[in-house]
Amino acid sequence: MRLSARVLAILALVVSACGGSTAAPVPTPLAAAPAGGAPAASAAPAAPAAPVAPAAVRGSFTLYTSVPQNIASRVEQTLKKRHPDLTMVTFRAGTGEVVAKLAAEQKAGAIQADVVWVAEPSTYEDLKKQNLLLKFAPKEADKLPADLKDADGYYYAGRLINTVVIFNTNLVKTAPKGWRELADPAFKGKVGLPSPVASGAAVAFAGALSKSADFGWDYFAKLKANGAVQVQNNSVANERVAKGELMAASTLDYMVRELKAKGSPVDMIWPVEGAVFTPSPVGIIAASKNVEQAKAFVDYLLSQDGQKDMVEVGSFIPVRDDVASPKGAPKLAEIKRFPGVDWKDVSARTEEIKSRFADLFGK
Amino acid sequence: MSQGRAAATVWAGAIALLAVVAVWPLARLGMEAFTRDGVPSLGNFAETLGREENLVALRRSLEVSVASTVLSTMVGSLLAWLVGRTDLPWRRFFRTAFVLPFLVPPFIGAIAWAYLLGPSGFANRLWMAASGASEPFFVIYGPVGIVLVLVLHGFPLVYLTVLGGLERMNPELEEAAQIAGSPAVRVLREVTLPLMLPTVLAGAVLTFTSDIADFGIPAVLGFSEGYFVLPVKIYQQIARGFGDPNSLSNAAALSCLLLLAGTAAILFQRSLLRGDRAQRYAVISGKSLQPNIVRLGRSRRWLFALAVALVIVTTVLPVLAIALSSLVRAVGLSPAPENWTLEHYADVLTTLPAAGRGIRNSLLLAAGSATAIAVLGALIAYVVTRTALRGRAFLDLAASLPYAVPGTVFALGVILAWLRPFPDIAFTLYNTIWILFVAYIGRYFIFGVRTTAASLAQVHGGLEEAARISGASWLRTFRDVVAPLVLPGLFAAWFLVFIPTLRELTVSILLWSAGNETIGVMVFNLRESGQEGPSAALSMVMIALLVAANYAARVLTRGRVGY
Repeated sequence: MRLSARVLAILALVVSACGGSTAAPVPTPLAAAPAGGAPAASAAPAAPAAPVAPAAVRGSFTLYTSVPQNIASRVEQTLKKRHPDLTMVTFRAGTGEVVAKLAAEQKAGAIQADVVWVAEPSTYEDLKKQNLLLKFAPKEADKLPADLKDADGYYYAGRLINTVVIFNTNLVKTAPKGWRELADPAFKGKVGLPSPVASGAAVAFAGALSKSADFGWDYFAKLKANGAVQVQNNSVANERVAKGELMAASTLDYMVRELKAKGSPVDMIWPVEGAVFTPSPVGIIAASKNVEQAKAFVDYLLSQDGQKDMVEVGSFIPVRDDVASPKGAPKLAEIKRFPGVDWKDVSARTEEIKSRFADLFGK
Repeated sequence: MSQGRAAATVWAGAIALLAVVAVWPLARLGMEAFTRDGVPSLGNFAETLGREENLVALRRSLEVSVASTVLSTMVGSLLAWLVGRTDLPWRRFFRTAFVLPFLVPPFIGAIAWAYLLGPSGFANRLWMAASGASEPFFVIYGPVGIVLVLVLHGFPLVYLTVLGGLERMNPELEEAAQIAGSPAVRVLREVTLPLMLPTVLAGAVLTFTSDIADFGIPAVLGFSEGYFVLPVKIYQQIARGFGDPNSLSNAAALSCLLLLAGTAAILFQRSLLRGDRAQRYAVISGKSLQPNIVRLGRSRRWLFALAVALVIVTTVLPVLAIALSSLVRAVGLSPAPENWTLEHYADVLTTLPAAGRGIRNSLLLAAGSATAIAVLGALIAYVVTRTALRGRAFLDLAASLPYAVPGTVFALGVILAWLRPFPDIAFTLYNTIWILFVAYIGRYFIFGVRTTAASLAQVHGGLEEAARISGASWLRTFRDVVAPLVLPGLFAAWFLVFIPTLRELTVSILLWSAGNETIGVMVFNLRESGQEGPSAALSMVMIALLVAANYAARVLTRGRVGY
């Protein structure tokens, strides 16, 4: 029958033209064919056997991260420049989804991630409790201040994110001073709050303010009474503020700097009561088969070069004080922090934080 | 009738495959739902149903899905009739135009509509400037907006299904009515509609199960109003992760509610087509078919205007919104030409290797699953509609369940099923492209079965019996008599699977891995990362691919496949 023969021929052409991707059902950490100019290096996850020069680690490892997609891609590239034989294979999703993926994999008996890098420390407290993290000491861990690393040695901050206020410069002529003003009638119905269910940073924010005696859950109730709405995550909050659907929102500092640089009509303020200072840690999975490579990555991240790269690709405030902050951003020591943030406490209260927020803002 | 050993082997193989790709992940999920802390228990159901928020979400899911199904069926059927059976002007153009909303992922469509009809959406701003009003004309957030966008994305499913059925229909009955003097509307109401009932219902059931499990549209449009439907609640349940040790089991229990709703719909549709009613609807006999054109007469003008308006609203406006998004330099700037840039397209096509991989992987997966499903689905459809095999009703049910469950939940089932299928052997499909392949086949199996079953239902059994009486084996009969008649149905099934798998998101987002990205996953990830411009640019690329695929199919098969 001519018709089906033609269709089959077309299909065969399509399939052969798209060749090069995976062929075998046997799992390999790297499955992609080279696309464009991006190299896809060796597939063997072997640790180096013979003594090698300290910098030349070979092989690949898998990173599960909630760092935004474009930034994660650029980190892949900067890592390649510093370590040409080391390949990072990235899985990027929101903190909530990364955690769910790890849970599903753990249930079935095999976690595929080697390195985990999500928004805030309470997740790592959970992972620590479940004995999933590797205890290790990166080469330059001593360059990190004490509050940016786990005292027991299970996780270390790779970047710094701070919850600040973003506002639309067309709609808001006088910038607010801090968190309290968001409950004012001037902002009625026009404030956005990322939901803690998907966003790790939002857990940090709600956790910090709800515990404070000056704010507590009453503050959130006041916001709700003033018509504040919940949004899915920080990016959606930023988008709605930039478009003028909302006047202001709580969000992360580095995102606002990037938007401003591109030309969006937004700006940010560092709240007088304090920004929620959140070290975004990186940790290694204990059962990882690529521990050498994972350690090499963390070493890179915490090095001067690595932090300079973070400033450049993501506009992050660096975790080391010997690296300059992005333009227009304060130095680490200058940030006014929201007081009383305790990550172990946030970790213990995570469920309560999520459900109380949902009770208030809709479920 | 006795079918012979060759037939039995083929069926057994198809049934085994169906069990593996569709039933096993759900069975694993079911085991999860009825297990709590390692022991069999009903505790998960007690916990989830005890929460009022879940019951409210269930009610809202039903409200929204019933409303959108009714509207989609009305709109889709009307349009299929207009294009397939009347003398509407520009019919060939409308054929493709009405499918276009189907080519846009619902998630993207919701965002496009938020861009148009959000509180400071483009359309609203125009309205306020033109009319001097201080309030927007209509805000798309909330249940009404959700229903509207569901209809805008769901009606092409009904449209495609009904159109396929209309073109297989024997026109003699309609001709007879027209010769007897009936006006067009009466012919439609009293002849066409009753004969098309199985196909219309097939489309309606598909739309209902799709709408009730939809995650993207309510997630975008319902979140800030606090209007949650069940798939969103399930997703949130999963997202609790480590904190709640029973989160996965609770999520599995919650998804059983959706399974129930979907199963009820399927059983309802089957009850309408039971027994000799299927034969009564058989209108393909041995004679050749010349589709009968109904003259619209006076209604022609305004129906044409209506069709044009529909195309503009359902296709032109949202695509325009996405196109503008892809060109605007930064979020929040006005979409005037002075703010346009092509850098997002450059980003997506050159500097982001993951995007190129996503496009390639999606094409491979879509073509592969479409082919597998067309073949397997046809075999299962044959067993269900034509044989006396015991328990065959269960096959149809089994095939339709993966689509009735939200993508997120089916994906979880697939992970649990395939991460380590043999406990002692270190074999896994996880983190390969094959797990996506297997998940797509399981999830969209029903499309192949239903489309072919509807085709088969309209082929009179007498044709096969004639062949068998003349001495042909079952295999030969299938190849020479049945297959050619259902071949358009097979190609329709191929196409009906190719499009949604190409644009798929909710299953892929949990099953993809680095190097095995799909285009939907990349669009989503970029957007989640606040990269609205590149995300919109990639969406435009995806839409262009789908339109091109459609066009290629039409040209290569001389119009027999594709719309």
